[in-house]
Amino acid sequence: MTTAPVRQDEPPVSLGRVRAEPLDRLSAADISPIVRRVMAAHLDQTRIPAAKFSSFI
Amino acid sequence: MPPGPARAALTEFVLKVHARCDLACDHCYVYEHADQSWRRRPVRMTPEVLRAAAGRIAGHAAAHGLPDVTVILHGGEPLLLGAERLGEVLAGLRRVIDPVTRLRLGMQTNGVLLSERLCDLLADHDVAVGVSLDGDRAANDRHRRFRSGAGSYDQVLRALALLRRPEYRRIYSGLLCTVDVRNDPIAVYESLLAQNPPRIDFLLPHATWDDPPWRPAGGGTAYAGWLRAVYDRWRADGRPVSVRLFDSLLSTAGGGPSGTEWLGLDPVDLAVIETDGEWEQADSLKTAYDGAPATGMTVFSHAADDVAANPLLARRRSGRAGLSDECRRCPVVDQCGGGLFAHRYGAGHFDHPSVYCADLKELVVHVNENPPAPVRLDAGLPDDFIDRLAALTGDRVAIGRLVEAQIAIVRALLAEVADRLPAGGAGADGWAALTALDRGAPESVARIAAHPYVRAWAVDCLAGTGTGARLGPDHLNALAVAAALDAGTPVRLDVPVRSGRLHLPTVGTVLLPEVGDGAARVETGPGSLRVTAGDVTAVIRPGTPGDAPRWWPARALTTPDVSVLLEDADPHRDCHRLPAGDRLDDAAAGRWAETFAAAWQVIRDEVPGHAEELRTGLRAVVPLRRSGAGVSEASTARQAFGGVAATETDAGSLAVLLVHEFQHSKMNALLDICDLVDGTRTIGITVGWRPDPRPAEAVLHGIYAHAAVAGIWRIRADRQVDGAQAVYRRYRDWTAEAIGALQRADALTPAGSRLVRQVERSMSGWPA
Repeated sequence: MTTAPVRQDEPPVSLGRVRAEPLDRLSAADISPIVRRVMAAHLDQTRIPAAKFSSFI
Repeated sequence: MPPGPARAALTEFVLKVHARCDLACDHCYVYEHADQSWRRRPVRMTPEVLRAAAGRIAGHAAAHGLPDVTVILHGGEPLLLGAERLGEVLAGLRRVIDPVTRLRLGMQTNGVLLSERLCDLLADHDVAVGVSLDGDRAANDRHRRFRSGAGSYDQVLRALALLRRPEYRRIYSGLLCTVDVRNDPIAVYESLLAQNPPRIDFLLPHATWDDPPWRPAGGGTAYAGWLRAVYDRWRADGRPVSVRLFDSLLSTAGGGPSGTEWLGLDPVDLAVIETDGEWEQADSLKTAYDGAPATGMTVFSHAADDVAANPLLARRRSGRAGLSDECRRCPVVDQCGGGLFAHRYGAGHFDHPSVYCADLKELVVHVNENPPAPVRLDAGLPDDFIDRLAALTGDRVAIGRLVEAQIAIVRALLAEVADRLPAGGAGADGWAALTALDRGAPESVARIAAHPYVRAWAVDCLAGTGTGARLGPDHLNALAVAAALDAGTPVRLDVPVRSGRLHLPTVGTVLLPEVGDGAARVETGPGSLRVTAGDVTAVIRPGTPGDAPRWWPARALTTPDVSVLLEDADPHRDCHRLPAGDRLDDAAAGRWAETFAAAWQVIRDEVPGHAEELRTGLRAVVPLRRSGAGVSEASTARQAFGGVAATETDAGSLAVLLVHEFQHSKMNALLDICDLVDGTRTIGITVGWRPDPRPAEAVLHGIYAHAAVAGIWRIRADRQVDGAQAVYRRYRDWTAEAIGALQRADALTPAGSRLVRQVERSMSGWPA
């Protein structure tokens, strides 16, 4: 499965490569777009914390 | 879907456990603003007040069937209580409230007194610790000073360094920053980010129309300008941390809830208990006039329901109806919500917009016009793949492809967790072992990566939001041990222990109550584990069924053609919106096994294509704690593909909910690799299954799940099952109406449109 770049100047990210390459050979270029997308979705899902009291974070 | 508390219920309680402070910040609303009631309060909350308060909270939770309540220790400065009394307070709250509902404990502190001993205590009681910091040294020390005039910056940074340590990171809740427009916004943002918080919020300094905020000459909307600068930088940075203010504006833009009492129209469900036991409204009202937060009630005389009925509090819970005419006419009222109630005060009443109205409006419009750019991973998926996933008969091949994509995603997350490990720190050995196993036994690593709650853990780690029993980066060692056992490869690693439990995903849990929180040495041999912690040594054979004194084996729900984990021990299974149950006893586990086996037969019989899908992608079923309402509930989580959480139910219902929830899991996995919804359009769509307008992605989820459920009931209706026809029609109509509404809203990408069209086509031949 080949993915489009996160930014125009980044090469396509291949999920197949991340699946198949040994973990210690994965580079930041391989994993960073995936991590950014997953964490962005996580932020969107969890951005509402349990407490609304403004004087507590 | 969680039922949510009744509208009359309060869910947040602020306990003023200490009424004095060791700082003398000149912007503090407790001591420096209109209300001066602190002068007549006891310095500390007495044990009698605490007992009564805890009893009121527990009683309220029980009466309303609340799944959880939040109790926030506040002041003054709560750490002035000292470790001994603080420990008594926390233990007292847990003792009274824990048996009734899930208790979330929090504390806001200036950090000055935070020590290792206090961090240990707060971690023991799972207290989320928020710290107040106004930016860099100059910004912070502009206001946050000791009585001597000395700044507090160094002490706060020392506290934050403690909270960033691996053993305390899970209780680090975030940073509160009060805005001063004289400070440089980017310098403040960067200095907060440097403290690596899991969450930040920016607060406007409390002010009213009678006592308006300071503004620079000609700076009509200086606060909007300041916050816009931070928002633009945060957005350009790719949202590296949750910012409650901005997240709330983005959420409300899409019709979602706000995360703070000072934005949005959601009811405010909080009350304050002062050191003398008086119930008060939100204490920001102290800025309005002397006595403004008072209710005239105490925990000895009145229950929380009485407080909720207080007219001013009820007004703050009445949404749009409680706002001024000007606010009700405003186009951004759904997001602004009139601002913080206290900021509306002037000339003796609250029927005004916020004194920050112009700033809020400008900020809301700016955020709406400049939403975060989506991080695209357009997978270049062939149309055939979308069509296969849209098939309401199920498609095993498509699920296999989703599984492979998920394993790739988890591998990327594991690599990122490892990349952030300190050199030689906890977790480094586990990563070395895992990478070695990945070369020698890659399918063993893949089997562990495919466990739904490995991803949930990794995301928690990267977000810095793990709390309670959840594990930090050193959990990599546990993953390596689990993979080594699968591969039959010997390893020796120190594995983290939380609350006396050492969990090995997919394998089981070693019970080490003597350790509490710490680590144990684990050595794998052929089919065995040797666990050593201090004087304790346990030898375990993971394949042996049945609980043992030191061992809870992972249990499976097994039929001749499928086997999934009955996941009742992984700390990260509690990522669903409903609370996970505790470890099941043998009788309950036996009931689950019987019900699952019967449900599986139903699925195979009624929708065999879905049985094939589940066989390929379902990894774990998490038993949920039954809520007070006693109804059957189920859930999936975005970060846990292949996991379905459910309350115990009958076989026919379990069959439906497994198919239903797995549709959500499939949709989540597809959304991971393909944009289906146009993220630049924030709309609310009315659907048949919920009273409130839903964002496009939620409608898409509903269509996908309800179409499959309609498919099951269509089969049952064909077979003349009592009542099936009506259920079939209800789900079919909900789905068809939602498809029409979503298509009219023009909120889908080409891939999303194709998916919906294919679902519609699949349903087109169904009977009326």
